[in-house]
Amino acid sequence: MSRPRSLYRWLPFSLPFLFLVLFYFYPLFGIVRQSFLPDGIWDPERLSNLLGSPVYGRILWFTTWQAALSTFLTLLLALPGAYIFARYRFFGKNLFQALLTVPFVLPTVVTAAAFRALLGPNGLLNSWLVSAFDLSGPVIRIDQTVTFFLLAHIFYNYALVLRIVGGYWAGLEPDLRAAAAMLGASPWQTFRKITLPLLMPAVGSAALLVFIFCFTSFGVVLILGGPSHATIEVEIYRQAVQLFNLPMAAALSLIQIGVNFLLMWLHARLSAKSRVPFYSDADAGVPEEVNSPKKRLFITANLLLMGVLLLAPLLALVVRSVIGTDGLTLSYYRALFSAGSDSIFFVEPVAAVINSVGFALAAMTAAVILGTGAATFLASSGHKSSSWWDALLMLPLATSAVTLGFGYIITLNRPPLNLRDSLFIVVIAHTLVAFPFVVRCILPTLRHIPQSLREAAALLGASPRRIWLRIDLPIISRAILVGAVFAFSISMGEFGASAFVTRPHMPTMPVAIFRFLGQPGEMNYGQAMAMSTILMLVTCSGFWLLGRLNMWYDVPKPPVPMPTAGPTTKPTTGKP
Amino acid sequence: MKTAPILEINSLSNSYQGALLLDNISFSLSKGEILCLLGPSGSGKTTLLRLVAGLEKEYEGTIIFAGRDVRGIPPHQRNFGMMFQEYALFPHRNVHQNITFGLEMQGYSSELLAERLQTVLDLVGLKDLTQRRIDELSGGERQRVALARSLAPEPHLLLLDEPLGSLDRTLRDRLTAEIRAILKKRNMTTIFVTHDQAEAFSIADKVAVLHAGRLQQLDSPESLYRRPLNKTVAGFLGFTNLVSGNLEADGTFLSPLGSLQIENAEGKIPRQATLLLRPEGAVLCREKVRGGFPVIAAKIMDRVFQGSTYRVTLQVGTVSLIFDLPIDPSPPPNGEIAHLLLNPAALVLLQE
Repeated sequence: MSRPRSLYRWLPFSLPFLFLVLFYFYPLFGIVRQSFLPDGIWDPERLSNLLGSPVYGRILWFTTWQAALSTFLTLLLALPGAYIFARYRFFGKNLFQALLTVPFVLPTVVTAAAFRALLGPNGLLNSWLVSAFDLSGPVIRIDQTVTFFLLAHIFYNYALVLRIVGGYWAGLEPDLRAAAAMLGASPWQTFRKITLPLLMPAVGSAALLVFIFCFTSFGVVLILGGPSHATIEVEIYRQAVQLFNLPMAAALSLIQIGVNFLLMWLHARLSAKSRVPFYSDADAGVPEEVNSPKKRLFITANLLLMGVLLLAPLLALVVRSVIGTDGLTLSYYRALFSAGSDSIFFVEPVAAVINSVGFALAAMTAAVILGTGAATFLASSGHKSSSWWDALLMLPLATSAVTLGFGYIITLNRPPLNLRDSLFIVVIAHTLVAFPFVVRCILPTLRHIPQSLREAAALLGASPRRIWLRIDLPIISRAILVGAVFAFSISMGEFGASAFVTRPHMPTMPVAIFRFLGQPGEMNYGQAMAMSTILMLVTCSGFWLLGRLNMWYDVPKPPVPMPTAGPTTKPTTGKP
Repeated sequence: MKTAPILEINSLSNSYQGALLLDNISFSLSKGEILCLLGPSGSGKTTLLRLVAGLEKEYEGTIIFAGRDVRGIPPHQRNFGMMFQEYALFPHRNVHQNITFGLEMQGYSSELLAERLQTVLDLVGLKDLTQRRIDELSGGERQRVALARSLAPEPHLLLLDEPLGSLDRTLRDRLTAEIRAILKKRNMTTIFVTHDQAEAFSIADKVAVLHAGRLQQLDSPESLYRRPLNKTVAGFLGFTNLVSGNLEADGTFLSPLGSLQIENAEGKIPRQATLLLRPEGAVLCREKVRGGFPVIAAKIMDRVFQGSTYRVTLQVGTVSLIFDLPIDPSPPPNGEIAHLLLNPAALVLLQE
């Protein structure tokens, strides 16, 4: 009796599993083969040359210290913000909360363009300073320096730390503080002996996540760091695409995979132990009234920092996209629609928008189908085997998109699977990056459906298929929707894999922006700004729409407290 | 043995966002007394407790402890102990570390600390659990740890906020008795907040009934039960036999139940009034009884055997009454007329 049932259970998993084998493990295998058997020949001498190169140590060291520094600075700036969100009620809190979701959904390429627009040599701040003080050249010269991409890393991760730590902080039982006070602890002693130790798991988990994201940073470093700086990701790209040193790229990819797995494993252990929720809003608990000038000043300063850090680059981006050498202009937007002789594309750039939306819709559909199937399977399997399969499904998240893209171009370019000229290769890459997020969105909701609901339906005469359609599906529909929007915007912003697999005549928006930014001239720069603005609007409106939909579309909630529908790991929209 | 009060609360009022939570509360407490604040949720009892603790700071009136106005003294300098509703045990510290937290804050030397720990452990009976993590404890054990933690620094006043709220009935009954014994052994001045009347009765020397932010009655448990002051208190104690009628100048009460003679009818001013008939204050009798004991005749609507008593629902005209009658003699079957001899002490005139 158990046999046919377990076969039935495996059915929804077959598709995701096949997909992983073909488009994850096979390319990965290609990388391993490429690094140990370059050109298919076992050549120990070449191999030892490759491994003995001092390049690895240098890159690994640079990648590590920039990630550590980014993490440290982000924590330094974001922890006070987490405190005020956890503890106080203040004017505009909801607005700021909404603002904080923006960096989550912003593609890296757009972020890089936005920072260029604000602080780059042609950026707003520099041109204002030049015209205001009649200077001969830009004052802020951080382009192509570490400072520049560190700033972008802080921009990305500030909100992440604030959400994780702030949410956890607000969730701490306020009675614990009261209890400490009643036992004679001063406010400072209470903070040191009670609040801080209780907060450590959240701080640790947030710090580790930030470190992971900065360690695997690609787009931001590539665009803002200039040719003299390279993280492992950037170096993989350079070795593969610019220097065509495939064995070197493969070796670096292997190192990246190893380090990533280690970090992800650490993070999984840490968050499993402390149960730090990821996407919680920092408004649980009982916020306090602000009642002293000192507190007011502290809160205002933090909100100001938040506003400047999060809004200034985005505003600069929009402003820069409509300001030309002769003042206000729409010429950059107009240029997107023409394939002039000076254009760097074979087609008019606006085609990239159509390409991106098309790829994103296809990837979203595929990711939802695969993700729903996989989540259904995971929710129905036993605890032990489920966590094993769960970890397997999350592997693509631990693998950088650059590595995946590289794996695709060295394995999917010849029989048995030749997709070199197929458009599907882009969709497949995006799906692979997006579908683990869909699983993360759906699985918690699915797991929270009490088994008794299904049993009740079965006793009322519903077949397993009908139970899934009539009980499970309606309850998880909202989570599916959230997953779909995530998948869509991940695909819209994806850059790492796309940089390898898009064909020159079919660029996606991030790839087009990257190419514009790499070309000299006011027109190219302006078009990069214009296209980044469009991409920002498209991705943000997806999430705005999702918020609206939630209002209209009131899905019955399961009778148990439902966890927040967001994924448990950062939606690395377009990252790396 | 009346001593000078250690805690005096005078005209205490508190409001939150325009709503009055506590309205002109005054009472006092002597050293070693256990006071229960009894009231439904939203009656203001927790607010009152938190004001005394210093956890809430906005109020009018005065709180005087040991002759000193405590306004402005932060909670950590008051040396009051508090036990919280869900215990608020520190999850990152084990049983031992939780209990000694208050002693650490006072800068105890390690020998003194160990000695004090031993004393409270003996008191609450937790000896074997000192190294346990908090999440490994049962509900009853947590409650003991919380009590031990609040007792360890030897507070001058102990505040308990529904400390048994989340436990099941049998455990609660056992623990109330234990807590009372421990507090009495320590001669601890205590304020105990609860919404459970049985809990209040079994633990308190005095019970203060709060309703809608007002102090309705402050009395010993027995006086409170015997002579509830008004309909609110009577209702909260679960009394349902309330009959409205008219009090005459000679102390008789005229109502659909007939004419009943009332003892201690204050002032005997003729007025409209409500009479409470306590459920245990009646026995079955024959039609004719000697003496002036009040007797009523009523139709039996329902009778439920409850073990030591029969719960009988009766109808007199439009009035429905419920009494707990002795099981001997067993009441007549439904539909018959029964005669009830009322205990005059169980007839209580309520203030409006």
